[in-house]
Amino acid sequence: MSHFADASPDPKSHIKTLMRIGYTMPSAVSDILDNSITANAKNIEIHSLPGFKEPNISILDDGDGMSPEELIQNMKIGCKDPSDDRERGDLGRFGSGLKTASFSQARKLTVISKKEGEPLCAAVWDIDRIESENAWCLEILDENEVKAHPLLLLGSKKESGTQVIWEKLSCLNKTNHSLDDETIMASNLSELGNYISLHFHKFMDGKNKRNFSINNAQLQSIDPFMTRSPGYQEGRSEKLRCKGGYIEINTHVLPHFKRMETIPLERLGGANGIVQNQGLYIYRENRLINAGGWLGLAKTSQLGALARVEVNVPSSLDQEWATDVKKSSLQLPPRIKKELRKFLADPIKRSKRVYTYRGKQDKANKYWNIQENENDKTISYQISAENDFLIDIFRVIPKEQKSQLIKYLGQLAENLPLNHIYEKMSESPRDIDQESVTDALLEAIMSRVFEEEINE
Amino acid sequence: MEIEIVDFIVKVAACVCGKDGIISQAEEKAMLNLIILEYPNYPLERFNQALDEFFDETLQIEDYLHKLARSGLNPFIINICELSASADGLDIKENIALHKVKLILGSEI
Repeated sequence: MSHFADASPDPKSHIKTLMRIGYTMPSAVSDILDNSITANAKNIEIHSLPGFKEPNISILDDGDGMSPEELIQNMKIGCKDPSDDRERGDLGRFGSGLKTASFSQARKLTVISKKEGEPLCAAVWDIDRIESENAWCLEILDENEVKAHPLLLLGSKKESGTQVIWEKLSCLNKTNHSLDDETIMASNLSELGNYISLHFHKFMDGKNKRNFSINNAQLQSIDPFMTRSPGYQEGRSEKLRCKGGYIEINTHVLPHFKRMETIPLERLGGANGIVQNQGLYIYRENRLINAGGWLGLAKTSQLGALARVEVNVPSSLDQEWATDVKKSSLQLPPRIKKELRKFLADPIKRSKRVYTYRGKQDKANKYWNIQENENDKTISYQISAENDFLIDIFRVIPKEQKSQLIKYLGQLAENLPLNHIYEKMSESPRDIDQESVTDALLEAIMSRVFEEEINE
Repeated sequence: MEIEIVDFIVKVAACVCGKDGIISQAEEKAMLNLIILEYPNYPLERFNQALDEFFDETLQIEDYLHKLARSGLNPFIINICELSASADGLDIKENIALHKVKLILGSEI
């Protein structure tokens, strides 16, 4: 007869698995920020306090906070059932984010929290201790220990909030030839700032605005669609009703590179970043999950660089969209792929049009055109190819002479003495007389031909 | 008008259109227009509520049709299913669902 054996994971080995779940530093911090937003925080601060022997990171919010019992419950790995329905605006899913994200970046996680009307409470996961004891031993600090914590930022005056502290950082990736901790940390924090500004940009503006800062420097949102830039084009949009709300699809076409302002362009990764990050921007409850790439629905191309398709998905569809623990990737359900395909052609086509648009052409007269290229910010004078007289000449002359004539006309236009004309037009515009130039030209050519014949 | 009857009609149409878990804007608009044309007093909030309930319920198309068995509205039900599902093109799954509605109601027409 069959029987059951205890095959629960060995804590020492299991923690090592949890540490390698694949977070990057920005995606790990973002998972903590998700919790802060779900807890209704209005101000979220990231600090890397200097003056300590070992570097550390603190994420502090003024959200609802937790009671001592709630803190212990939330420090458990997998404290929530992933299949449970989440409220709208709840960015969590597996109940593992806080722990797995933290363990991927640091060997020591301390969470200090305060709920309104409750005392400060704190709990510590130390991987060194888990490994040495081979047990899930969560350390609970008493109130005095919490108040004496050297990295405490969550003041007792604050009504509520939570502070997540990472120590014994493994995210610094130090080797023998690495730079010092502070330099690596500064570089990591700069990258983190850009990541948060992009992935949480919908939380940085508007009526539900939250303040995000790193070491007291306020973060500004990065709008991946450049909706406020001149030349931005808004395209088709659609709302698809689904379980728990709507999937919203909006299409955008960015302005041409040359029309983009320098700072927003740099923040989006420069011209290369714009090309590489074309595609689908998928948001889960307003938090950006997928920033670009066509996910197999279209090919990345230089001409399609300006096309963006925004997809907003409610968290109620997590199961259908196969959201992972890190909430950094998902899979498109077949029906959505079908719907999305309808939207791709238009922004890509318009991106191509923006790219290849040569500007507006005006007729100066029947011999000359003025070409104004808005993308290149250039103006050029070109000989009109639609002139009847020129077309007649091309009809009657042999092929060889046609190419000679084209070459000559090209040179003629290229060598238009614009500076000279400008100078004379400014100095003495009334003295300029172009009416008798045809006779003068005829006379000059005739006399030259006549001279050549005599010489022969 | 029995308002619950209209709720069930909306849910039958949603069953046909939302076979893959989503109802497109064109389908929803067509559905609403037909409902309002037939039942001008049916409130929009009720329509939205019926669709939200549909996504949360596990009932099948047969279950909804069973509740409409004696309504005498079979031609309208078939019409709303057909027109709303084909508002943005009828795909295979929608076509099968529509066929099912016609088959079930057909014997009673």
